Amino acid sequence: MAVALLRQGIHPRGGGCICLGGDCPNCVVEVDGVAYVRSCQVAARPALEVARQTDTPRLPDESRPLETELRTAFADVVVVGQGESGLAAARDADGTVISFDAHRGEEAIGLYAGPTVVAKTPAGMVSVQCSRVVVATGAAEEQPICPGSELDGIFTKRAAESLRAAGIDLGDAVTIDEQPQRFEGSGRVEAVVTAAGDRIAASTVVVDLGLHPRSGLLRMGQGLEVEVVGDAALTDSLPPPPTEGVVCPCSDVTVSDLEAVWDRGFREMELLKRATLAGTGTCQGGVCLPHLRSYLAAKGVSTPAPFTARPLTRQATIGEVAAGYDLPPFRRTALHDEHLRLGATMDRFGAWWRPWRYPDPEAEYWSVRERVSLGDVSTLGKMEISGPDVVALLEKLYPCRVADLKDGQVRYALLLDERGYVLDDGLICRLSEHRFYLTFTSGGASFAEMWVRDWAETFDLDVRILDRTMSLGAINVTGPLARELLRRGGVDSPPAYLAHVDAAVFGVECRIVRLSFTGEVSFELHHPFSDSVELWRRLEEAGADLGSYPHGLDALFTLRLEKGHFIVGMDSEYDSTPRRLGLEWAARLSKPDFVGKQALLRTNRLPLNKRLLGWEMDGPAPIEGAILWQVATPVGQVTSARYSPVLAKTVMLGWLRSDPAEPEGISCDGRPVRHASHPFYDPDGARARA
Amino acid sequence: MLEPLEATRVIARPAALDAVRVSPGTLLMRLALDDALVIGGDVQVDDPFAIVVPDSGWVAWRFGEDQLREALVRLCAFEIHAGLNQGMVAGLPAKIWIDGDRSLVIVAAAYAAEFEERFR
Repeated sequence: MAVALLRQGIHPRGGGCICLGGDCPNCVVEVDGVAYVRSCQVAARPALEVARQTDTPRLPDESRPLETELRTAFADVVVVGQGESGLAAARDADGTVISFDAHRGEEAIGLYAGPTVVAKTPAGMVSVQCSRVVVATGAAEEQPICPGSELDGIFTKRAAESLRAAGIDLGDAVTIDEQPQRFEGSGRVEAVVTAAGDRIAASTVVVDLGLHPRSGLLRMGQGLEVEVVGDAALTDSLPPPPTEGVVCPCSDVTVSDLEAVWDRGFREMELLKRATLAGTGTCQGGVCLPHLRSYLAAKGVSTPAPFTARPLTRQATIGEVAAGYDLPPFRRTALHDEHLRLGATMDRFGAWWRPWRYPDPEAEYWSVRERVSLGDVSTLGKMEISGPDVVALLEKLYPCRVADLKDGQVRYALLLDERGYVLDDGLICRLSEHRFYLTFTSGGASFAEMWVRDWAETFDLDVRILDRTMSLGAINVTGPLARELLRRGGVDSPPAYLAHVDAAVFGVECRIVRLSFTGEVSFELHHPFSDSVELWRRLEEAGADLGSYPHGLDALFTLRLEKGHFIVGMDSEYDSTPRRLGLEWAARLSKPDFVGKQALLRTNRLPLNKRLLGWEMDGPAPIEGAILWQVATPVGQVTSARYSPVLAKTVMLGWLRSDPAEPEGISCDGRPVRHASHPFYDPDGARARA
Repeated sequence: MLEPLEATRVIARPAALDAVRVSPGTLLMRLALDDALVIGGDVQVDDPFAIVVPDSGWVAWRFGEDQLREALVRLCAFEIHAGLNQGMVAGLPAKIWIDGDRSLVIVAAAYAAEFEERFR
């Protein structure tokens, strides 16, 4: 395309030395609405829309598809460049070879660990995983750096040869082989003043100033299996130091700019680059790098190395950069479509889509408090673990006692890290002497397996571990009538509080786990993923005359807050110990050992500098995160706040960070706040245990 | 496209899984040293502490060789070979089983909808 434009007497950029090698920014244009396209690297064809590049290129409009395909390929060897040395390297390589040839519009733009080579091609983006990369990218011609280098009519030697070969008359072209003092002219070059001071009139000047290896990919591949061949392996000799003119035509950085930042103390290559932006533009140092090194060398910096090369070596569109990238997936429980059928508003929580609210939020809440309700808790982490050393492992993992659990019993447990901070919480269910079923929070599920496996290996304990989070569904049946609903499902002997049984509910084999997060009688029915819809519908039908209505996360957050249950990651912070959370009872320091014990022993001797406390106030709930004030001093923040329908006041959890003797005189949102013990609702737990 | 997969999950000592016995016609995929997914048959493993449980948390897409090349290759971040392949397909964790004319893609049922959307 550059040749076609020049044939018409049009300089693609308006001026500047043309190289036709893809090494400079002097032929960039907009092609079909895409800015920063080197016209020397694009084949001209009918109907291409070409416009001059402006300082503020237009953004793509809807007429141009943004998406670009990414193809992943595999090869033993990737050869970048198909000149003489590149062809030879491809021919002689062992195994499968993939080559990229800039003359076919295939440009390697990045080299990553692996090694992986990413290239732009006319067919889209290509990512090649390989064992070895051969860089055969050749060498770039040195550009003139002097006043007037921005004029039209200046060509490198190779460019001139290509243009002449294309039948373009360069007129009275003069060739120089040293950096000139300056070019003269207005718009187009009229004369060149050589290094020796001779003024030569010419409407075209050809510069033959030497070669510099195209080392971008090689430098990008440091530490990887990368070999360089041909001119790309040339020893790079420095040009004479620039004294005047534009050094970096991409960012319009002049020698005066270099002097200015040098005087301010930026005296290394990377600092020079950052301070001036030289080398950060279109050509990524293709023009300026040798001159910057020469500039520093002349200042006494010994052998200044080239600056770090990073992808991308070429401009890419957003579509090209995003090619093949997929957004992180969100899981759906087996009941996803049931929630939609019931009119739920779904939201993303953790890694899952979850029902936030159904059409009647009041019914969600009161069906739990007064009747019976279903909640989808399939997102809970679930794990089965067995083995001769399973008790030993769990005793080390959990700060509570495990060995004394009897078959069929359930225990609430915290999970601590080595620093004694709460990582997660959940349940320990004993299935048999050597087999347990563990639950974790929805957010902690993905981490739990790694955590348990890691410690099993660390302690060299013989256990089998299976994460069942995505293979089991779970439905929470909760409310004063939950037992009746289970009875209708065929369960005459549901488990006692903090116990579990395996039983069929409406014909679906379930592990029924009895605990309570809502504060009412609750049975979690853990069951095969494939049975979730059947079980949900049967429970829904059987509970209709009991006033059953499902509840989503929004209602659940209110219900659990009334009970003062904290949520890991929502109410706890990264450094929350059981003591800070008011859960000292959950850590048995009399146990011989558990993860985090030594840290707890140490930190328990320190003053308690923050506590998670219960609070209440009149009126509506403040936003979560609101500051707690003691007069004019911020002393903490609210982590959870809800207006409680059953208590007719706002209840909250929040950190008291400073150390007032008594949490008195506290305000939030401009209103007084009272410290209150929690649970706020049913403090003795009679309803949950009923 | 995707169909529910009724499988059995077997977690056992690696040595026990090496010697696992399955009935004829059973497909056993060794997901990890201590982990196998068994489709369509009985399994016996010599480990008293093994966890052997039905697992309905998967969906599968059965396909032919041409479909594989057309639809899968461009979306896989790994090189597909005969036997069990595991890795990201269209940004989702997946398993691809290639065995002559019996080939299938397996993803967790929780990802089924997202997988189908990404394949359209």
